[in-house]
Amino acid sequence: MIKVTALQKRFGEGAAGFTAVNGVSFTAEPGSFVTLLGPSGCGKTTTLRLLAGLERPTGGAIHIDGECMASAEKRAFVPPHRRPIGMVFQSYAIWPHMTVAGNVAFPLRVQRPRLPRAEVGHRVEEALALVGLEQLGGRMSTELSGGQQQRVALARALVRQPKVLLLDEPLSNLDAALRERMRDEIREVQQRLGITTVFVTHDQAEALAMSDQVIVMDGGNIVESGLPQEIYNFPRRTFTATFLGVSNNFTGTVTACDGQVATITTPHGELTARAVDAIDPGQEVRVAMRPDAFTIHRSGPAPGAWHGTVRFATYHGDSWLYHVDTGGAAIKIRAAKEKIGLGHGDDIYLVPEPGAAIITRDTEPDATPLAPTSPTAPKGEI
Amino acid sequence: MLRSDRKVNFAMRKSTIRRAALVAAGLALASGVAACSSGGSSPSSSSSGSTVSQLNGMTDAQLYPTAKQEGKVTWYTSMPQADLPKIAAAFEKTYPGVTLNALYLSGQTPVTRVETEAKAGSVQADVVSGSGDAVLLDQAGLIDSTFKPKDAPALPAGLSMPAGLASDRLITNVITYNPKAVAAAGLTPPTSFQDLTSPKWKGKFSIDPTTADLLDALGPAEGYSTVLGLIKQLGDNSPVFVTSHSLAASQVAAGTVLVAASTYGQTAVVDAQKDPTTTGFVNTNPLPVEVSEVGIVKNDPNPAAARLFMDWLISKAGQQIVVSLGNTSVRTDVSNNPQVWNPAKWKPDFENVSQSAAVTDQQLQEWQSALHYSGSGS
Amino acid sequence: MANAQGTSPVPLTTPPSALFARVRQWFSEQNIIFLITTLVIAYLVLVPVGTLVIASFRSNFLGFGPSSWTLNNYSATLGASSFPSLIGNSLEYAGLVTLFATVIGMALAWLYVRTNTPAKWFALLASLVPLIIPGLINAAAWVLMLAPNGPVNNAANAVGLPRIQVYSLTGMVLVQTLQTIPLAFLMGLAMMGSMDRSLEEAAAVSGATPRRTLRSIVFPLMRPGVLGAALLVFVLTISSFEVPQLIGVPAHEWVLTTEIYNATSQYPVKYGTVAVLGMVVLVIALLGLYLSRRLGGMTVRETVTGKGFRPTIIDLGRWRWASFGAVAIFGLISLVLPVCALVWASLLPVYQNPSGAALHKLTLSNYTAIFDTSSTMNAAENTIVIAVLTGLITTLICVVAAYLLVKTRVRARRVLEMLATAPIALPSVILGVSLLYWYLAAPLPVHLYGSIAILVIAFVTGALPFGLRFIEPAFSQISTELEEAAANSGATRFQVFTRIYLPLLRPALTAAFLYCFIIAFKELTSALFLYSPKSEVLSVSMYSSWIAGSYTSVCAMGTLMVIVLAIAVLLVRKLGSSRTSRTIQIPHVAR
Repeated sequence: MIKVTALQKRFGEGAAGFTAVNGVSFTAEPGSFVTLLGPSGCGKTTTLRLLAGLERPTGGAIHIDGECMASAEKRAFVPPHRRPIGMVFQSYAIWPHMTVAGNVAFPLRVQRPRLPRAEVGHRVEEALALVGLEQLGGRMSTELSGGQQQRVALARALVRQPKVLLLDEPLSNLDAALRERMRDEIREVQQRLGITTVFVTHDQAEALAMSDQVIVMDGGNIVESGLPQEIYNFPRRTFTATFLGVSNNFTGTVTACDGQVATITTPHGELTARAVDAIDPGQEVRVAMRPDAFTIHRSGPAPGAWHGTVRFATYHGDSWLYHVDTGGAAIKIRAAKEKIGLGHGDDIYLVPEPGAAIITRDTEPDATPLAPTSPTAPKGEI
Repeated sequence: MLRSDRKVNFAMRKSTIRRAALVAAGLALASGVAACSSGGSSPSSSSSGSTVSQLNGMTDAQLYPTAKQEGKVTWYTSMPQADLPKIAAAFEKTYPGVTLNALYLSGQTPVTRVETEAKAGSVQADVVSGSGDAVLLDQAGLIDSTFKPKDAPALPAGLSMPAGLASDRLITNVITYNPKAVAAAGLTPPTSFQDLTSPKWKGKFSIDPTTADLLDALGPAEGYSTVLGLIKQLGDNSPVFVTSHSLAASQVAAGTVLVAASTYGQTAVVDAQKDPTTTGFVNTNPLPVEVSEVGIVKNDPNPAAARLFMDWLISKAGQQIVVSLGNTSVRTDVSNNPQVWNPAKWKPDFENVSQSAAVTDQQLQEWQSALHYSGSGS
Repeated sequence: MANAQGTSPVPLTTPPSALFARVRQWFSEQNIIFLITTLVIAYLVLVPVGTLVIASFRSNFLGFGPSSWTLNNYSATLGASSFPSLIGNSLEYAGLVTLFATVIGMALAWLYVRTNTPAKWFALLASLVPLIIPGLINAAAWVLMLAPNGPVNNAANAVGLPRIQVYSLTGMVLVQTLQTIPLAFLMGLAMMGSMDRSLEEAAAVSGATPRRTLRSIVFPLMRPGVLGAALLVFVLTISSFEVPQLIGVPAHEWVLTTEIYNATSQYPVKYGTVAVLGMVVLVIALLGLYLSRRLGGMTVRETVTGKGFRPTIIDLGRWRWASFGAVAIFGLISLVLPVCALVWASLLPVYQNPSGAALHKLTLSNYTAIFDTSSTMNAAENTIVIAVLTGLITTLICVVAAYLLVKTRVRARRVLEMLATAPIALPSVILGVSLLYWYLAAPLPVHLYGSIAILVIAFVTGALPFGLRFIEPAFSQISTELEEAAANSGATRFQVFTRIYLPLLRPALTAAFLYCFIIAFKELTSALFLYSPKSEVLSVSMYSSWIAGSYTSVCAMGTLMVIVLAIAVLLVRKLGSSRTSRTIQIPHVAR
């Protein structure tokens, strides 16, 4: 449904200029929920705005449902009001001088040929019902709470049944409880309507919970993309791993590799990692380990255990997090449920889970993004 | 934590703020006192301690040392601003050490100013001169009427002066026109006020509505209602209003107005000499003559210098300077400019100097309403 | 309460009774400062106005005889046959100026903010520089240019256009409009530059064409702000004096302000009438300001979000050159022509229209004469002293007031704010007259009339709202945590103020000082009522010279004044825009 090819957006001229989006390509299948995930400044919002037509690309092309929406080379550009899209803004952008119904009806009213008034009213009712605001049509939009305004924004985006729905960090201004509820609601509505959606966020929990495809971005480039489970369990880039909470990263040397499992020696100790391709022994690799991928032995050394000293511990409700000094660096260890009675200065012995380590790659400056579904990704890239 | 819960607890170094407040209050008071002493006037005695009556008895030579101590004399006048530096130079040459601070004030502003200053207890004017201003002040009791100028000249027939006042000049009112502009407009210069009532001059001449000088001067001799009728006709002819005679003359010279009905002869003769192509003037017959009276303000800050100056102004020496600037003097031992003053050719009609403020005000209202000048809530 | 050792702690002080404690608390440091500041500002603002109100109801006010309460002043003044036309004229004049100035100013702001008109710096220059030209000078320049025999009319005549009579309502409206457009432009800039761009983008992605977006979203949202701005322009115009006095009076077009001045210049002074007319102006001004705030307030809350994005620029294509042409013509008329006329006149001994012959007469004699005339130099000295004092005192009062308004939670803060911003509703004429009345009538031990002090008082009062406008936002930007941290480290309030706030506020303080300096430098109307030979200021000198017909001298003084003010403005901009003292903020968690 959406096809983005080598999209580029550069602001400013010459040396003083700034490239916000640097050759981004991806495809969104019809009916899928694609999330652009990344830290602030990574170019995800600019990409979304390019999709919406609120910015003109300086390179590349955008196609929606086979039609070209923008192409730098062909100097083609379809302005936003002629694209089959609906968009929800981070600040909701509800018009304060109209009622709720007025806001939602606006896309239908500006449509040509004109819709009969009765039908407009009917579809506004439908849209409001879709987001659970049936009774509030007559209210002035400024009288609504933040969450309600967001729903109005959503209803307004969907009322003219667009082919594509774009959402720019719609949940970041809500408090935690409301955020979770809205997250589910948006996903539910999207699946019910089967509308192709592009969602922008910096929150990895949202990305994982809502998406069919997650695209991780950094510095204007796509770092990695894939299914949420893939990205989470088997991140290929160190950046992705770190961003998704795989918070231990070290460099190690491969001592053995048999195509399935690689044994790696690190300054902290030895561990085994899942290896997709063959790696020659002696090669240096980057390894990522989840904090919960270790078994803690209090009593004493165990075979293959790493020895460390606890620096300090923090409590997280469902777990304890230990900061452990080992092999000259600090790693984080998560222990579920109860405190194991370890505190500052105590010795600790950690056994890494076999095969739980992930070999990742640092992102190179001109990295071609890894996207299993992208036809342009070269094969065999690790 | 809610903001309302938080109170910032400053170290209470006991009453630093309170102390500072007291200091500030003290400073304010001190500066107020300082301002007062620089603004207020020491009433009616000179720095030497002499009272007014003593000063009134002194000769100019006796006054001079005290005047030098005072250092300056402030003079409110309607004499053209450009002339004032010359008068100051002449006076200061005669009496070095006494500075003449001459202020040009138009209309009745000298009167309102002095009255305000007197009310405020802060009189700054020493000497006031102008047509009617000193008289009004005298009627309000603000002039020292016990002062007798040393060399007061005899007055011409038909002219009388209240006590304490003297005449520092005679102001003739002439019609000034711009010959170039008038010719460009295809008109011939006017020769009388009656001329200006004709339609060809509609909207092309200016008149000063703030003083009823024509009415005051011509009325007594030619008949008040006749003159008022003439003024009404002028008023119906859409005159341009200009709030001072000097400005009127400048406008004519600059060509912004073709003819000015309210200009001084003295200004006109000087301007005509500078550039005859842009200024020409006409003495009408009869010639309206305003009398400018000069007097000393009661409780003025520099009484000795004031008396010295007034004596000088109306003396032969002073009047010669005044005449050299185009004015006309009452003194017979000073030769006036024949272009401006020739009683044989142009009969002078003097205004009634001693009429009361109420009558003057009423005449002003009638003048203004005849000119269709919307004054203040009459 | 027992402590660890098990013994009762010794109380440090004997606890006072509850009432005494509350009284003591009420006299806390903070409240004392608040009280003093409020009293000072209340004295500055309320007392003169109160005097005016009282004077309007008293017979024989400031007269020698007995005085009593009466409605006579009102019935005489409001019932006078000339009053309806006076009011009608004033409203017509102010209304026309408002209409034209708002439309043109807003249009220029639109072109500047929202389109790709080339050379925008020129529009900014043309719109802002007139602000430093004193009203008197601008009016003088236009009178010279539009004189019946002046260059404009001669040129018009040559091409067959009708001559413009500058001494007419048209002339008044023309000149005042040109003077007022910069203000409307600035207000438009502020409004349009801060509109939330996403509101328009939401319309675009909902399918609205750009034109539809303008019609349905942008204009309705702008309307309250535009109306609010227009009302402010109306209030400022109805309080204006220079143009009506220089251009209106010769044209028999009387408005309230010139009528007031006229009534104080004629003997005997009708104090009651003046007071009533002053009340009329005051009421109109207050009403206009009240309405303006009500309208303007709504928009500001809803559409200003401070998002960092640039506003959507409309590409005018080839039309942008037409737009540039319009801006250029405007700049020519509002800036280039008056300044040229001014400089031209200042270099001539006697005014003449520009011509080849006149070129031979150019001379600097007017300028040298200024430096040779002791009274003018005295006035210049006075002006500088007064302007500096005004700047210092206003900034001091405003910094304390702003601190109280922003950083404390004294319950009566609203009162202080209203008092400090009230002078916007006080036309200069009113300020001058009411201060005159008060200092004439009040039984004060010090005689302030005619001194520099009274002028400083008048200018400080008028400048208060502007000083606050610079300093209050700067205070808001400094996080209170800084103060709390310092207090927790043992600092007194005074130390916090001098060591934490003042250094951080330096750009805002300097900007406020310079702005008040400029206001005091230019101010004419209130000075006319309050000056005396000792305390004459340059604006009064220029006015007197104009009335005396010394056109060229006025223009020379005016040119010098404009140069001085231009330097001051450049300093303001430099210091105001230096965000080097980056106000330290606790990072926003929500993001």
